[in-house]
Amino acid sequence: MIFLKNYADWITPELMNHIQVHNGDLVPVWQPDRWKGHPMLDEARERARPGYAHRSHDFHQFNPSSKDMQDFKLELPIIENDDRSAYWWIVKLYPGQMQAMHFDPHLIETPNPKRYTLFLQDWQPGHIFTWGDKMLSNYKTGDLYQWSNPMCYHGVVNIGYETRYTLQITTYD
Amino acid sequence: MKYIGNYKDWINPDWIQYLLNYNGTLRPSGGDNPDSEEFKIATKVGYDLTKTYWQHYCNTSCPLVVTSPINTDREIMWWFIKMLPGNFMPMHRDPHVTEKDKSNCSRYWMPLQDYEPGHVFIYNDEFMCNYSAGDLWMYDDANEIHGACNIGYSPRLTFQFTTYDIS
Repeated sequence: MIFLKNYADWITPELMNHIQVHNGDLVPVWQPDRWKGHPMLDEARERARPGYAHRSHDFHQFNPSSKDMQDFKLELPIIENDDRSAYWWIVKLYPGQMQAMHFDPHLIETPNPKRYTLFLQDWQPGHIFTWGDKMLSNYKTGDLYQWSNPMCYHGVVNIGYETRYTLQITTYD
Repeated sequence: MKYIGNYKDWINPDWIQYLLNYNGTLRPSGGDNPDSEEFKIATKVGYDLTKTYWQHYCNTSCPLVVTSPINTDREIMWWFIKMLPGNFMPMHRDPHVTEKDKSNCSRYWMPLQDYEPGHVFIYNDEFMCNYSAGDLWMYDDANEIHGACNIGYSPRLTFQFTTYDIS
């Protein structure tokens, strides 16, 4: 992860209030229908099947098509000076919610992706973002990181005591 | 966390088979939970004490015969933890290290497997990784906050013990 810049000024009270009051879409951790159609997706799905197929874990996500975002206009911070397209989504994890280790399936067919995470609150014990043999901690509200390897296996979990919020961005050609 | 050494030879392979093949006490749903402020807060923020977040094995709940991996003439309490994929243990402080009948507690942690991505143990803001089976660490502070989870793909097995004086 490469720290780029702090964007705390971009995070408005209105945004935080909106994602605290609303829950966005409920997304299951185990999504076999999404993880198919490509050898990498098939391999990842079958790797996760024994541990997660019988479980009902889920988490919350907001994206441009979420019902809870239709009345809220979100303009992404300007993080690149070129004119690339972008996907964004906000992940909301209540205590006990998680995303098991995975890579982002949408990147498989995304041309020249760059992947970013913008933290919407200060790090707290139990707010875990891990990839490989790393974990990111002690970040500040608004800190923006670019992923060194967009396709890396990563996972997040909240074993803390406050809901965890992050903004995820992928830019592409 | 202070690294003590590697005790892989101390690990009995039969223990691993037992832990993998048999359920321990399902926690926090099985058995009594401490009447602590921490558990009350956990419930308040959404943790469900009727669910299984991890499995616990100790001398009163499993047939395993375990002696201390380190030389000590102090009292010892030990327990194994199994976390299946998706299991977790919220950040907490161990209630027993502040019990009135125990003093000078020293708290130890030992993974029973080599590190795998998604097998998470956190001590305050310290992330334990790249360890090998049998590596033994002692907490700098027995009463420090810590937590664990398994967002990987295989069961996660660890051994814990506390040495203490009877007060």
